[in-house]
Amino acid sequence: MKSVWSAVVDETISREKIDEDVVEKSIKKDSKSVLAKIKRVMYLKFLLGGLSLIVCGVMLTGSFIKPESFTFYEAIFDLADNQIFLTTVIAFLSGMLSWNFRAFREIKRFETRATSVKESLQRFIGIMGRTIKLNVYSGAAFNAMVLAWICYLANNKTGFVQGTFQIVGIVILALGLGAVVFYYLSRYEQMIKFGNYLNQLKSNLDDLSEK
Amino acid sequence: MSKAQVEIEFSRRVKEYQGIIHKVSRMYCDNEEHRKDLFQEILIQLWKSYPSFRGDAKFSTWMYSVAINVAIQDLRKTKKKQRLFFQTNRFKEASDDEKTEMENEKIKLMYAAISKLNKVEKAIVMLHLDEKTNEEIADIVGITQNYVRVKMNRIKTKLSKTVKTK
Repeated sequence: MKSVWSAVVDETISREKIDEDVVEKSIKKDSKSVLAKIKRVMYLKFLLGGLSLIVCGVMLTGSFIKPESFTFYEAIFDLADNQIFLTTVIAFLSGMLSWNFRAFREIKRFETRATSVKESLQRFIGIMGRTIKLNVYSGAAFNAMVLAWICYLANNKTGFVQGTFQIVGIVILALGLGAVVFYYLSRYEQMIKFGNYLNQLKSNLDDLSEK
Repeated sequence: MSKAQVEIEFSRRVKEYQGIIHKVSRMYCDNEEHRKDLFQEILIQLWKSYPSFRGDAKFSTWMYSVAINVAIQDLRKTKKKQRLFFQTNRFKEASDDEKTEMENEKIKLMYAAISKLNKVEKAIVMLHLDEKTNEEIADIVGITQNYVRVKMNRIKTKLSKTVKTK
């Protein structure tokens, strides 16, 4: 087998040998790896999340300084609603972006440090796991929050439920139900997206465990 | 050292040791297109992690670690169509007109045997074929030397079974 393998490899090397200039060009190209794709999505999240955070921050500050210019949907949204809405969006985005940033830094560290196959697999599986968690929790939190606000605004418009306690009850119910439903939906989506791949990696790692 | 100088030094070293990348791509890929993609991906990853190469390990050992890691974490799936290509036509890629039918048969048999191995086993068998010591294999893979021996025995049994059934 050794001689056959050497012959095949020698033949490949002689046919596909590359020079320094090809190496220099190649290293400047975009990576197509899973982590590179995850990083590109993270860049997008930073961009959109960062912009939204700035807009919401400006609007929240404006709503304290000049409320009449910074209140939207006045028919169903009063000043307090407006400020609570913007605060929840800011809180969500801050949490999501900081988690995103930590995951991003971890991926960077992973990419720039070469380790043994086993250690690399362990770290990679850990990163993938945390990225999946980030996607699941942020998806569930965001969608539940949107659902709760839609319920609140719909109630404001139709007056289906009166009284502060009832309204708070409806919002909490929508938030809770939304969180549970969207948690499982996001988890399912992530499982479809990365499940098989992660299982393959875990099986490779398992193969390296001494038994 | 400036970035340009580092880039030149890196390119020179990679050119010198490019056989390692060819070997890894050859071991893990089912077709030429995939092989070229993996080759490219390994180059990018080598460059990204080059600052972490401190020179206390051999450059070839470091290069093997990075290349095998990229190959194992590669997501591309082998489609049925590609697999068929691999099983029937691939040995032609490695052959030339002067090669005897017997040599072609040997290459075909080797790939049939390799295709039965999982990604980790492929790494170990490739390092073994490259005459790395158990100590070096243990360093690259991250397992003990004793376990390298155990794995090698299992792989040999698996390979000989495949060869016998053919």
